[in-house]
Amino acid sequence: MSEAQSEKRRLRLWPRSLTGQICAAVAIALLAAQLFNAVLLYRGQKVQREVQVVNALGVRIVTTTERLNEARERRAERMRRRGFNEEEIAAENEQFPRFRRRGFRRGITLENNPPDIAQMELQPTLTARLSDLLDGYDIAHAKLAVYFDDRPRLPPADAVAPPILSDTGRVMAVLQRPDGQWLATRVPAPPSVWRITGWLIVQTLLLYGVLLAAIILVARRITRPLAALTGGVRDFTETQRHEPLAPSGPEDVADLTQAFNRMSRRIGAMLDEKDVMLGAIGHDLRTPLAALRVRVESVDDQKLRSRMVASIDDLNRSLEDMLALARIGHDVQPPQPVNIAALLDTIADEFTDLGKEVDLVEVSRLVAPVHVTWMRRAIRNLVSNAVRYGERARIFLHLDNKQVVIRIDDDGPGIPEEELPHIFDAFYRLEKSRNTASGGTGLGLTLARAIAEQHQGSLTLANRMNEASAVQGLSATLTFPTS
Amino acid sequence: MTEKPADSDMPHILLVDDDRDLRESVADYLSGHGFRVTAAAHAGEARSLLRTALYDLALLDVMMPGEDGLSLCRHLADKGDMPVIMLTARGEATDRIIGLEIGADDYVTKPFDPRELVARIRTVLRRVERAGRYAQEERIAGFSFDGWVLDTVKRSLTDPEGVLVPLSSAEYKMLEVFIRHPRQVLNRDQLLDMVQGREAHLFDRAVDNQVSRLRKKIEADSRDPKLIQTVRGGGYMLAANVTAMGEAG
Repeated sequence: MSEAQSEKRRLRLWPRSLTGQICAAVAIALLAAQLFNAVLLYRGQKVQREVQVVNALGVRIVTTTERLNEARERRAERMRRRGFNEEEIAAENEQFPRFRRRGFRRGITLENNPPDIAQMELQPTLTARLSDLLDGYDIAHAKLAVYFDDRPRLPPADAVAPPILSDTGRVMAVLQRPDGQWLATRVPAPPSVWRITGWLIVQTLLLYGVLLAAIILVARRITRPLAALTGGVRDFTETQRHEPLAPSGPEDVADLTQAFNRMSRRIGAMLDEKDVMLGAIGHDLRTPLAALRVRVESVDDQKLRSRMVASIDDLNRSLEDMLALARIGHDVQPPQPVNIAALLDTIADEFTDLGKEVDLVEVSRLVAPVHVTWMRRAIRNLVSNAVRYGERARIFLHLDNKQVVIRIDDDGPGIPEEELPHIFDAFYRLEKSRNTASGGTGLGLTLARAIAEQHQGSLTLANRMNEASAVQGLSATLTFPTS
Repeated sequence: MTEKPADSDMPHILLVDDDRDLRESVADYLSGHGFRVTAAAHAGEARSLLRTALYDLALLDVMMPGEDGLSLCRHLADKGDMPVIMLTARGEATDRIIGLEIGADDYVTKPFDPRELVARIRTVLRRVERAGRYAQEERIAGFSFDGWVLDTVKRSLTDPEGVLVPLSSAEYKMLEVFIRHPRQVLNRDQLLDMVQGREAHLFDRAVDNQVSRLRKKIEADSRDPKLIQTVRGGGYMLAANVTAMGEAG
């Protein structure tokens, strides 16, 4: 139950058409590729972002340190010229750790005390990278740490501008110089990875749009001739005739269409040939049979004559059944609405006139479209079997769920239960080996079933049982739709 | 003027069939039943025979090498007044209809009961004698009565709703007799006489039985017949107006 349901759901999710399947496959592949791409991009962006931040921080620290050292050097020189000694110079540096206002750069502080790093997040990777960078420039440092500060930046009190909306936080590097002073610098953190994700989604959607448009275009070029081909095959199956299809679409599909045209032309020619051959066979066998039938009239012995006539009739019936079986299915004329009850009436009368016991037990007026000559033949064959093997036939006709049901019961021995499923097979084998000597019925039943199928119906045979489950006779049920 | 042979009281049949055995057997049989038969093996021979003598009826095989029977039949129908019966080997209804549409008067399916062939030849000859080949009647494709249609080309009956009502050949023939004699009282002997010409084995069949079968198919209530009425002491009568219908097209 649940398995069937999940099966259904799976089928519903997975498209059935060629275009749908290609689209779905491409969409899934593209999604996987984009996910992989996103991971790579994320990693690359992360490293790049770190390098960017570290470089920004490094540049500031390096330039600041160099300028600071130069400025101090110059001041120490001046003080030395004015006669201050080294101790006084060191004290001066300690006392005035800051730049003068002019030398200040935004976001750089130089203090004697460590800056406030509460609520900031230590970034070990960035710290290590920055340390490597500073070592490369020979910037000595006693301590170094990089923090991330995600608190919103407070706008200056006199600011007219509104606070920056795209505030991504700041990254702060804290460095203790060899002289014990603390240098702190901060840069804005680069845009977050989420922006990249957003861009990736937009990119994927764009790709989807472009790719799917292309796929649908190509797929329609394939599926349109395929649909035409399917229609052609269907027509051909039903009528054995079709107009040649114009090859279109990609070369592979156009080739297929052409191959189909060739095949159907060939089959059509073979079928025509078959019809001509069947006509010739019918003619060439029936003509001598007709001559024989006429000659039989000159036989004086009446008993012998009637036996000869019966033989000729049998032969003719077998011939007719064979030809009919070969011909069935490509009837050019459409079925015609027929009063089925009157048809059964006519058939029953035919048999009654020949002294057979055939009863119409339960017949209501019922109209259905049938090929009347074929249907007459099918019912005649079934009734003929019933009176031959089952002594008498009872015919029932009723409507069951828009199906015409014709049942013919006999009072014969039925068919052994184990042979019942194989009865049509057996007759098919009989027919194939052209072994009709064992009785004309073999073909008759095969033909009756073929006619039932020609009418989109079915023919079933079943034994009728009484309460003691003894076989009372055979029931042949012919069913076909009323429309 | 072509001279008619001495035994001109015997109908002269032109038989055209490519099978020698059939030609000989049919010629023998018909000769034994009051006909004079000239046989031709193919359409060409038939055409040259037609130039030298007059025939009362042609029996044509449909399928022949060279020009086929249908073509010859069309030629005869165009040319003159000779009735034609086709001998067809295919059981296909379409073949029969084509044969009748191009001017054949009847058809017989091989193999046939020779007595039936004789009966059909006689019927056709009688009809031609009575009405003349090109009488109005011969161009009729069917009749309608009380909403029903009897198609004499397809030999089928359709009810007022257009539904085909299958008839046995005996029923068809009896209905055709009624329709050709509407509002006439037909007694059993007349009915038998008019129907039997076509179907030999109706001799021993009760007319009443046949009429009741026909009523079952065309009457709304077969116990209270409105169309085919029983005339006390007389026989039966079709109580409907019949309209003849021309050929389609």
